[in-house]
Amino acid sequence: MKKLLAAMVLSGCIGTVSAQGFLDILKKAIPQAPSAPSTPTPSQASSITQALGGLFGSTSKEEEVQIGRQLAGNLLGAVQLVRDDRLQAYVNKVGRWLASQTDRADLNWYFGVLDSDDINAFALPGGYVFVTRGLYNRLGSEAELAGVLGHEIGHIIMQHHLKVLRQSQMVGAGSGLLAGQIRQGGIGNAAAQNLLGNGAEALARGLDKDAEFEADRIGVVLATRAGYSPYGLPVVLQKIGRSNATDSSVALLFKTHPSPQDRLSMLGDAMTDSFDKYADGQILAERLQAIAGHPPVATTPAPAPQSLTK
Amino acid sequence: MMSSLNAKSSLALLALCLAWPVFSADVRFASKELNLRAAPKGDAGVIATIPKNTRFEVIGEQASWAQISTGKQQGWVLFFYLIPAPSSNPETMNDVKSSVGLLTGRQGTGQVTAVLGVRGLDEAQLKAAKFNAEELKRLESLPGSKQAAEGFAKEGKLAQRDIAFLPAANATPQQNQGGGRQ
Repeated sequence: MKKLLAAMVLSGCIGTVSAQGFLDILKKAIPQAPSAPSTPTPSQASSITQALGGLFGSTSKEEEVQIGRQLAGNLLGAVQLVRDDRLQAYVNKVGRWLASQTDRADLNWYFGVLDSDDINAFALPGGYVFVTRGLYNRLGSEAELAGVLGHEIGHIIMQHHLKVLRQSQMVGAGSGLLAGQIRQGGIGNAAAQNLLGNGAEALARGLDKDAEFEADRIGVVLATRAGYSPYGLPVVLQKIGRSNATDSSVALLFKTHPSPQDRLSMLGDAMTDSFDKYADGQILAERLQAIAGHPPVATTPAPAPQSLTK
Repeated sequence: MMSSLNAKSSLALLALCLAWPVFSADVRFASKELNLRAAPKGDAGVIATIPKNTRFEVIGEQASWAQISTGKQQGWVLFFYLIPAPSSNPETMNDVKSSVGLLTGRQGTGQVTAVLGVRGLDEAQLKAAKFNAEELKRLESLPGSKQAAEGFAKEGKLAQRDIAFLPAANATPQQNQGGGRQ
């Protein structure tokens, strides 16, 4: 259940961090929300309660954002942002340019590079997108970064997590029950926690490969709309497909996500050669490398010639 | 996007130990039956049909297409269906992935295998995680307005293009007949 829950909530495209660890974050997220140090929203406790209530009916934009904020804050409690303003600003520019190609310009989009060697990227509801330093350092061009961010943006604009929550068993029979538990007993009460946990398990089972495949297609289209080469995301999938299958973190990736090969194959079936006419899109290897040339952490491998550069 | 690998000397001995020279060429396999075409276009003539799991070398690239050589024949196939090795043979895959090269953007470094998945986020670190309001605030105050993004796009000569979202293809990865042009 724990792994499933993490997979559901984080909806990582590239990989997955420690699933159990994320479950712990989430378990804590909900009860701790009211007492957590307040960010710019002072009435966080009531907002969270409303947000959770909203999970079990329709979800407003405010609710969607509040859920995402809470989960983002907890994630950031485990792993900090890379302390490199230039890098973070760069990724935000790329991400926001991509997001402006969607019909969710109403969201405030945030993009963060996490200080982790893990190779991962994920999305949280409401516009919160993260890429690990480990993944960032494997990217060869801005087009690749755009493909990765585009995939995550795809999860958010399709509300994959929220849809699954709404479709869960809990939302069916127990929706009113949980909302009521939260209202009566407060957000951290045990009964509500239990229901939430069980519901999350049901939700996780509902998150199928189609959501990942869909996000892949969206990622390619958004990158192309934004003026990039369409092939950035496929390139990243090729890289992941070449990763060491015996490595534990990759093993977890393969457990919770379609294989890179299947994803490439599905992309190929959808794209065929129809994006050839956009192959002149920008790759911008140099621009990414100019940023990567100031590695935030000493573990960064030396920049190498780029095969995606034409 | 694709190019061949030219790894050298220190790897040569190791390469000799393998059934085929993974370090001297970008070796790939067909993930499904592919049409080998005379040119990198969907309406170019089909030279041959490449059976699934056929081994070949990638010798060129263009848009969605990879130019390949099977030893007997050369032509173009859609690059989506090139895999490091038949999925039924994970050990072979481990060898091939070491060859780097195709599409890595890290051509020739030979580091991809070594650096991938160093380790995940530390689990204890995650378990101890508490809502970090300051860090969230940091994230939410990162610069990057819409205007800034637009200026940034202009600098990169990123021209917006009007493209509809892609519907899912009817075919699944298991269906080798797949519609569409291969």
